[in-house]
Amino acid sequence: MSVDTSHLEFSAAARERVEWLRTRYPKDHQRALILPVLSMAQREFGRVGPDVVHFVAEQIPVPPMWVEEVATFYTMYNTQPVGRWHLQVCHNISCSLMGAEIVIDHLEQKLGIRKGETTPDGEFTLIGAECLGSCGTAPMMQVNDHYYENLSLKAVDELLEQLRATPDQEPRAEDLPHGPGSGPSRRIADGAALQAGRGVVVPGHGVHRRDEDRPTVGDGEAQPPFQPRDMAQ
Amino acid sequence: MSDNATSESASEKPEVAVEPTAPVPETVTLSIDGIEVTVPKGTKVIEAAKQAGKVIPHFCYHPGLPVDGNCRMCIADVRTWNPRAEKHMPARRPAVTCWVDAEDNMQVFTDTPEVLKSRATVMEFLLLNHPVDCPICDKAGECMLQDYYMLHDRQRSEVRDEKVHKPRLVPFGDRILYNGERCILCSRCTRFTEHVTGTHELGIVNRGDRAIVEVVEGGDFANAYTDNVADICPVGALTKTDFRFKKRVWFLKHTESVCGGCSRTCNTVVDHDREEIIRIMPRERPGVNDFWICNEGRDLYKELAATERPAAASLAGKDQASAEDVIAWIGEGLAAHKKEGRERLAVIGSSWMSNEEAWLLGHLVGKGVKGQHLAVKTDRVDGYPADDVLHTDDHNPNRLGASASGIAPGKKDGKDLAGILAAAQAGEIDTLIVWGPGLAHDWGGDDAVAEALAKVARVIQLTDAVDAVTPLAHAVIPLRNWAERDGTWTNVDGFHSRFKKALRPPKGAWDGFELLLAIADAGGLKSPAKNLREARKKLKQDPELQAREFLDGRFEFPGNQTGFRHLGGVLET
Ligand code: SF4
Ligand code: SF4
Ligand code: FES
Ligand code: FES
Repeated sequence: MSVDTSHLEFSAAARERVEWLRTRYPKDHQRALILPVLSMAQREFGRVGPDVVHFVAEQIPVPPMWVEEVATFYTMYNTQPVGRWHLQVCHNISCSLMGAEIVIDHLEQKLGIRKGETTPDGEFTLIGAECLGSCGTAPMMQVNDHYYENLSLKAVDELLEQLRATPDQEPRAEDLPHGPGSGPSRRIADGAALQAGRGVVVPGHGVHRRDEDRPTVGDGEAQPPFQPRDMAQ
Repeated sequence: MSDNATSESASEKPEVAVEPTAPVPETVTLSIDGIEVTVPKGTKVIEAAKQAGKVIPHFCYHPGLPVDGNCRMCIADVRTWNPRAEKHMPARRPAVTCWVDAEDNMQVFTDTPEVLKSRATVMEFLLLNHPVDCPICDKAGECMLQDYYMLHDRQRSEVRDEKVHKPRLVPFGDRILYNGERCILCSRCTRFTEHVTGTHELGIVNRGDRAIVEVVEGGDFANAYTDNVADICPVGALTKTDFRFKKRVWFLKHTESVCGGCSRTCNTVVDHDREEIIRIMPRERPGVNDFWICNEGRDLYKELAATERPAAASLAGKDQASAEDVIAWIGEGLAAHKKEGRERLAVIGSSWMSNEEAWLLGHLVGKGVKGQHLAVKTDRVDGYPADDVLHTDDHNPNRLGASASGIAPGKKDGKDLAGILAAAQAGEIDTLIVWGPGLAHDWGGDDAVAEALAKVARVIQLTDAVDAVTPLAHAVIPLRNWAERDGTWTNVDGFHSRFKKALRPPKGAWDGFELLLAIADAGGLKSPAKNLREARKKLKQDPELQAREFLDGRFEFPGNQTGFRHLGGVLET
């Protein structure tokens, strides 16, 4: 096809990982590589525009349309370049019931942009995401690779300030080679808030992940910590 | 299944050798609304129902495409037989019949109140964002969404929100326009490009209510079969630029026809109104074209309309010759040659003449007789290149059929095209009969033809188109073209297809078969058949015509032109 991909090239680490992934799928099911390779391409090139889509299709190889379908389906793939902080507010059913639209409206007003846009200073991109699998702690949003849950408007405000104040940082060496979910993206910050775990602790406003920070319900008793169901039973 | 049986018996009595399992039954018998049908194993319930005469409503299912099962319209109450409990298990939820294989003893109910209600619900979702702009939609009248809405839903939309807006009038190549708002995302079109043409141009991008069909970034939708996606689109989301706003479909009359664009002879339906062809649609024909035709075949009617045709019969040296005069002249000439001088008569048949015509002409001049010169020429030279979907490299339909039916050189001393040319140049031919246009191609150009014909005393052309031979011919009789007469063609694989008269022929144009009968009459020659039907019957017994079957496409027209004639655009019944 007539999309030029000559300016794109995977790093050696990424190439190695593609080859390793290739061995995990049967020869006639290489189509399954689209997800991880797209994800790697996004980490390498920062976005998956048409050129990256065609590049990925060549790597696997599969028809470019297959890759385009996948890349546009998942909100986690950025078909456009995004700002330093990519605010992905889930607005699927659970989050919507819990006020996701209010959060989005609030962010739009605060940042002065519409859903799908980036602030002129390149700091924030706001999008509406489909279910991110964190419905139990709705409403939630994903900022770059991290989840912020049980959002309140106040929590959102404070989060924005923290993010603004957080200096950008290059990825740590141990996060490479990149795989899906294998580490923070190039754009993730290593700020104090993120050090606290997979969430920002804003006392009184939710946004927790660690059990000791869970909000209390009913008579004030702390909920039992989350136990993964024993699959053997 | 056999795996299970093996492992079970093995675990019970490991010491006993496992008996070979009985051969898997090839067919299964199930009941559809109480009607028993037996179908090959692996048939989908929706197909089995079709055999029981029940058309289960569907959008995404298409017999020519792999099953996708995304629209959920084909749901029905499907109860499977539980051999251990010895009863039919009540279904917990409606089953998707385009996905589920027919099983032995299965009970299917396609129109219980619950099923109808579920279907109405599915329709409600499909119509959630549909613009319902039927009055300006080209699909209206043959739209599955419209038909099923009338049958199943018939309620006002409950939604008070504004409908989702999507891109409309998106060009998909030159021939197709896409309207995202009408699209129900059934993926028929994308599966077509994926599995039929293998070109992968179309795909569904984005998600949820923003999903639309798109042409691949940087690509174009320009393969030779693009128009089929508009046929199989169950709604008016894909429309052909050629047909847009040309005619409401209920004004169209449909005639079974066959495409002559190449030797695949795809079976088609000619849709016409007021003696004008409006469009050409594919007709289902397994083994020939299945459900598809190429874009060239669809445009053939334009070629037809642009053809210059001989105005009337003409005879050299005679002003105002009537067709009867010309016929008498030809007939007498033929009779004379049959008595003596057979080797000074040559017949150049056409790769567009029907088997019946070829058969009759062959018999009249002495098919297979020693020293008889009969050959089939190439009428049409240009066309789409051959590909591995349908198109062949012969841009004429019936080369095989014409020569198998009778236009073949005599066993001994019979000359082929080049031989006839050489003989004509040497002045060894007195009478030359040419059927149809295009001789210049085979004979090396107009000048060569003129030079050779100058040495022939009687050149007779029976043709539906004017070419280099026409002004030089001593006798010309206009013929009807493929849209104006009945006949059969035999394709490259030996399948016969029958085309029927769709248009009223112009005044003075002869049906080829009738003309030959008249010539035989005039010359006192014995005709082997009195009419087309008899010819067709005899042809069937003709041992030389080694054809696989003598079948028309299985498509039939219902008496009243309503119902699901156009389901999916492929005229499924
Ligand atoms: S354009 Fe037509 S065929 Fe294609 S997905 Fe939409 S409704 Fe189906
Ligand atoms: S493939 Fe050949 S016979 Fe079929 S529609 Fe095209 S031109 Fe006609
Ligand atoms: S609905 Fe928001 S995470 Fe599932
Ligand atoms: S026809 Fe069965 S799900 Fe669409």
